[in-house]
This record gives sequence, structure tokens and C-alpha cells, in this order.
Amino acid sequence: MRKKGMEMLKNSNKENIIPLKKKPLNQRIMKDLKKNKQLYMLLIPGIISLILFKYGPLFGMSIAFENFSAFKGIFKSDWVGLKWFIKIFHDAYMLKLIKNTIILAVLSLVVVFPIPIIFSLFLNEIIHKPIRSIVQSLSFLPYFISSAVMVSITFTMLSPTNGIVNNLIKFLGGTAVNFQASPAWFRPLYVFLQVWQTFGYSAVIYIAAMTSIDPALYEAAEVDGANRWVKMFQITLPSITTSVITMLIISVGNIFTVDLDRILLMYNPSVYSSADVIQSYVYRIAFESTGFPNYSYGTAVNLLKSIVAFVLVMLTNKAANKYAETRLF
Amino acid sequence: MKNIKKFVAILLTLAMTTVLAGCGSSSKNDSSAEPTAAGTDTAAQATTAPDASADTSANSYTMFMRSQYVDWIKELKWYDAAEQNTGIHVEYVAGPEEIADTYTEVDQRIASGTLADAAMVNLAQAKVYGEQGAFVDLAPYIAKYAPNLQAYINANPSYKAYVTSDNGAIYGLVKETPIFADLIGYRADQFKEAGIDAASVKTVDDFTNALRTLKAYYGANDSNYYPLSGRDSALRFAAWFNAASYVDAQGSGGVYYNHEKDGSFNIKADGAYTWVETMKTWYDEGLINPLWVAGTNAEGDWESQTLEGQASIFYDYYNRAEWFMENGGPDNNSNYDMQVLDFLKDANGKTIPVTTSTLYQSGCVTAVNSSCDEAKIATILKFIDYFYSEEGITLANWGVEGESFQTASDGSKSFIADYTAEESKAAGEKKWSFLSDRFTVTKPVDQTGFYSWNTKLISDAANKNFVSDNFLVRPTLIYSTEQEEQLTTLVASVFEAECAGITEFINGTRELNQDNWKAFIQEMDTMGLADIEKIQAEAYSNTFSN
Repeated sequence: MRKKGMEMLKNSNKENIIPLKKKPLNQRIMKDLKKNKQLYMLLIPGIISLILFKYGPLFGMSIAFENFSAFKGIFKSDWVGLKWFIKIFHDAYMLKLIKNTIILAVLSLVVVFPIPIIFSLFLNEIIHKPIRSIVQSLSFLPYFISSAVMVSITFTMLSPTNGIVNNLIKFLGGTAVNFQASPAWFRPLYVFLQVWQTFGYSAVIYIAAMTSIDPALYEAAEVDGANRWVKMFQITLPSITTSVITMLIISVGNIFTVDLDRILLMYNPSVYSSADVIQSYVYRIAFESTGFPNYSYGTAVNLLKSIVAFVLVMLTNKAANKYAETRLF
Repeated sequence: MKNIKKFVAILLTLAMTTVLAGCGSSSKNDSSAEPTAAGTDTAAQATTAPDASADTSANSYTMFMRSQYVDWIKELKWYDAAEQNTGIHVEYVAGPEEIADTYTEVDQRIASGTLADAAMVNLAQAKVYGEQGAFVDLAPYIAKYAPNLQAYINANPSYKAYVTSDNGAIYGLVKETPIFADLIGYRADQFKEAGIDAASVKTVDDFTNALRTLKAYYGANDSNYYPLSGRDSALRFAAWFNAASYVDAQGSGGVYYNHEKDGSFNIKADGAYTWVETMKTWYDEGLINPLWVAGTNAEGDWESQTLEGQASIFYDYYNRAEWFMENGGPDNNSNYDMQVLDFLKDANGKTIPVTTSTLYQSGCVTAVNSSCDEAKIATILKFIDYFYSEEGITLANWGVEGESFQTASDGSKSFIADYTAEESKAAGEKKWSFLSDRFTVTKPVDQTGFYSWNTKLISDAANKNFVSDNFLVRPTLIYSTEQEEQLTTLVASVFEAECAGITEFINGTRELNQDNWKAFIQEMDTMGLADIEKIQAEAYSNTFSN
């Protein structure tokens, strides 16, 4: 009986509420524009930049479906449909290229990705602030050195005739190794250079995330008798999980994007078997061609690569949401 | 306060929008730039588009070209004389330093509508873009304005066939290239010191034995001494084993397309296995620089090795022996003496023929922008035509009589300008130079003049070795657009894979035995080598059936 009475009261309250009449959408938009006009004006350059330089060029990908001619342009070149995509699947060399690209990408992800995390965790443990700043700055520095210089430094050090590494090997009674010409050494060297160049830069993101951790957590842990390792693994690492997963998803998105400059600087006939990747092949076809450059085929290969990367990003994002309860989008 | 904030916000927005707009300059702005004068190439100028229509003078035109070539033109005395004689001035637009980048920039300039009146393109670009309307069909204008060039075309049907498109038009003019091969340079002083008689090095086995003797003599005290060294690819000895790529009426073997001279090998040839086996022997015994085999010996490395005595023999560009003599060899070591070995002979004493450059090549083609009016086309053709006249041929190959050459009573010419003095002049200084292997203008080549414009060392070696019997036949093939498209993709993968595979056999990464070699050939065929050979054979058939 009482329940019935409550329901009646509820219904009568509902009837008594007079909803405010919603203004038409255009009026609401205009009102919002007027109210936040300065913010929208600040947004304009960014939007224009995004459209011109990010979304605009996407339409250029349509040349993957054309027999592209620079003279005819994107709109007038002959439409060939999926011709180039079919050609990719008939290209006997493509399997080898995909294999090389994936191995290099997976190695980069597995080795390169965790190093900045480990580095930032240890850096965070340095008590003296000036030392921490110096170490961080020094680790950041290689990011500003070009690939050409880094490869040159590495190969000078590894030279089989007068490199410091081989001199040391020979001094210890070993035989000089021609690292530059060894297919087995190509991938480790590529990954080493990647780590050298980027770990300091990537670590900045994790260090920034660590600064926002509440110091009270560490104090409480100390009261409980936690040592530095425990604090690192039980407080610091879990606190930066969101940043780690965000970076992981971004890294997966770039999984097929190898550093072409570095590859071109490092590869030679001796290491082609492991160094020739999708990008270097596309480069040869489109830009080193002695005949008529096939930009369309190169674009088709890259487009396919981007689609696979996009699928991987979606899967990683979903997995992150499921297992770590965090996601990028 | 609120107004100040509003003002600052508006100001910031306007500033950012202006900066953004400035980032992408329109082609209209580009095209208003002044054309680059010959030789004044800078990075900025390389990307600055000329205004093809800016110079309306009937006696001048603009030409887009690789920057290095523009620099060379700027130094040539005979070129200045040619402009003076024709009354035509060419404003050169300097492109990138690399030749491949130059062709890429042609694409960009075509797309943006900023191509000069004439441009250096490759033949495929000339034909494809020409058929689409980007370049002028020169055939009717040649007949009208270029009588000497027309006479040359009529007299050389192979030239006509090479430059003519499927639709019968001529969209690009190809230059002649001197016919020459690589020569074997050796340190005569080191040969003498090690007890080797250069005249006794006749066969490949003699050559290998000479390497062994040198290694034993100089390698004993220097672990970095390798008697044979070089630059770029070491896979250049296939012809010595009758294993160069080829195409003839019977078929085709190996990648011949763009590898008529350099990188010419046919892994299916009978001698191919012996070639790789011999190179492996050189490698295993430390007779050849392993860095060179690996493809990591840069030009500078090779030069310093050869100058400093860490290498004694090379097989490279025909005038390289002279280069070492003129670039520091005798300065550091008064005994330094670089000489040229005669071409090697086979077991029967017959000279082994080697690969050579072809008379017509697909690079450095002159095409005329279709935006040119007839007066401009006539000016361009008249200038080119001059180099096909008797006066122009003499000027471009010998210079001015009494200044750079003299004529004997029997009509033969000889240079009076000193090669060494002229070629050693500082960059940018005016000089006599007749290195016709370089691209300057579209012109025929006087082979005698080309060989003669060298030091005695090289001209003697060239005249002795560069005879037709010592050269493999290198026909100039005409590929259809479709064939060219297929070959571009196939060669991009197959040639690199072949080089990688052969290198692995030589350095021992892959064991060299008959089974592995056969498997390697099979791999390459699956990858597309058989398709390449088929297309090349078809192109040969099409070229010579017409």
C-alpha cells in the first residue's frame, strides 16, 4: 500500500515538472560561439593546419588506385582499381620484405620500448637533483644527432681494420669481426642505434608521469618498511601504467615504420638479406628508379602497411582496456 | 583588462594564421622567381622554380639540369664559344646534386607547373609525359629548324628508333656516349719490388698469382694490405669468365637492363660458377679487400688505400690510373707509378672481351616543355642543332683550332692544350675540357677526340685496348612503356637479391657448392630473373625486327 502511494507521488511530481523548452541547435551553436569566441579563434590555426597537412594529404593516397602521372595529377590520372594491390600479392619478393620488416619491428618494440621505462625508474631513484638533471640531459642529447652521424660514429668504432671495438677483440686474442657486413649483426646494430638515439627522449614522458605521484604514497610505504625496490615496483611502476600503455599503443601503431634513413645508411649487399625492408624497396621503386617512377605501387604498399598498423593499434587498445583497464581512445 | 586579453588573443590568432599561411608558398610565388644563372647552384636555387615565360627573348631559354653538370658547363671554354657562335644563351636552372634526385625533381616541377623551357629527364619520363602532353613532339620542329640534327637522325636509324615513342613522336633527344670499358690499374713500382713482371700477367690465373705474390710481399707486415681493392660493387669481374649479362637473337641472360656495362653478370652462364669460385679464393686468401666485397668500401677509402700502398691493383673507370698519379700518388712516394695492364686473355691467348658503355643511354635526355611557343622551340633546337653541324662537332670535341688543337696535313687532329694543366685547374676556372662521358649538351661524340683528351698513359691504353674485338656486343634496346614498368619493379628486387646472394657465396656466409648454386639460380628465377630475361629478349626482338 505504501509502495503504491510512493509511486503515485513520484508520478504526480513528474507531471508537475515543466521542462524548459530547448532552443534550436543553430541558436545554441551561435550562443556557444559568441560565448567562447576567443577560444574558437585560437583553435582556427590548429584546425587549418590539421586539415591542410594531416587530412588533406590523405586524399593523395588515392594514387594507389591509379596509374599516377605527375603531369596528369591525382584527379586526372588513369584509374586502375586494385591493380597495384594485386601486384603486391603476386610479388615474390614481398614475403621476404614483410618478414624482414616484422622481425625488425618486433625487435624494436621488445627491446627499445622497455629501456626508457627502466631508465626512468632508475633515474627517479637518484636522490641528488643536479646529478639527475645532468644524467637526464645527457641521455636526451643523442636525440638531436642525425642518423647519418650516429651510423658513421658506430661504423668508425666497429671498423674491422682500425675500429676501437675490433682492436679490443684483437688485443684479447680474437679475430676481427666485420660488423658492417654481417647480416647477423645488422639487426642488433639497428636496435642499438635506435635505443641510443631515442631512449632519453622517450624517458621524458615517464619521468613527467612520475612527478605527479603523490609523495605520501612513498612516505606510507617507508613507514611500512618498504625498501627502494618495493617502492619502485609497487608504487612508481603502477602509477605510470597509463603512460606506459599509451606509449605502447603508439609504438604498436609505428611498428612497421622503420627508420629508413638509418636503413639506407647501414645497408650494403652483404646485409640485404636482413636489411631490405618494405620501405627500402618502395624507395628503390619510387625514387631510385632508372625507368619511369612507380609512385602508385609504392603508395599501395605503404597504404597496405598502414591498414595493418591501424588494425594492430585497435587490437592493442582493446587488449589494454581489457587487461589493464586503460585505453588511448 | 578584458579588452587587452581580447586584443592579445586576436593578435596571436592573426600571427599564427599568417605564419601558417607562410609555410606553404603557392606555385604562383614560386614561379615569379628569377631563373638561376649557369653554375650558381645553391640549395635554395635548386628548389626555386624558374619562370619559363619570364625570358621572352628569342635568343635564350631556360634549362633544368643536375647541379654538377651546370658547374661543368660553366667551366668550359668551348661552351662559351658555342653560345657566342649561335648567339643563343641558356639560363641553367641547377637541380639537385644526385642524378636520381634530379629526375624526381622533374616530376615535382611537372606536377607544380614550374618546369623550365627545357629539362634534363630520363627517356622513360620523356616518352610517358610526352605522350600525356607535358613535352613537345620535336619531330616536326627538327625537320623545320634543325637540319643537321635531322641529317643525323636520318643517318642513324638506331638513334631514331631509340628516341621515337610508340606514337611516332620524338619527345626527348638523347646524347651520344663514348664507348669505353674499365681498365686494370696497377702499381708498377710495387710489382717491380715484389718481383712481378707485369707483361707476364696475361690470364686470370696469372692475375691471381700476381695477387698472391703481392700479398706475400706486402701483407706480411701489414694485416690491412689487400692487393685488389675498389669502390662500389666488387661484382665486376664476370666478363673475365664469359659470364656477363647479354641479350641477342638467341635470348637473354642476367639483368641487362641498365647493367650493360656496370653490374653486368649472368648467374646462369657456364663461367658464372668459376667466377664466384675465383672471387671466393681471392676472398679466402686475403687477396681482395673484404670491405669492398661487402660493399662497404667507400670511394675515399679505396683512394686512400691505393695512394697509401694498402692496395696495388684496381679495375675501375678508364682514366683512374691517371687520377692517382695526379692526386697525391708521387707526392707522398717518389717511386709511386701507376700503370695500366692490358686486357686479360683466355687460355688460347685470345683477349677476353669486356662490357662497355652503350652509344645511347636512357639518362640525360633533353625534353622541351610543352608550354613553349614555336619561337622558343626553334631557339632550343637551333642551339642543339649547332652541335650536330661540322663546326659544332669540332668545337665540342676538339675546341678552337690553334688554341686547343691543331690539324695535320693528313687532316688528323691533335690537342695542343695540355690535358693535365687544363684538367687540374681550380673548380670554377675556365678551361679546355673534352670529357664527353659527362653530360653537357646533346651532341655526338668524336671517339678519337675523347680518347686523345687524356694523358699519354690513358690514351695509349685506350687506343690499345679499346678496339671492337675486345668489346662485348652491347645492343641498345627499346623497351615499351609496359616492359619498362615491369622491369623497374622486377630489377628493384632481383638485382639486389642477386648481389646479396653472390656476396654471401664469396664471403662464405653461404656454402659455395653446385647444389647451393643451382638452388640460388632457382630462387632468383622464382623471384623474377626468368621474367626479366624474357622481357629483355622480347625487347631485343622488337628492336631489331623493326
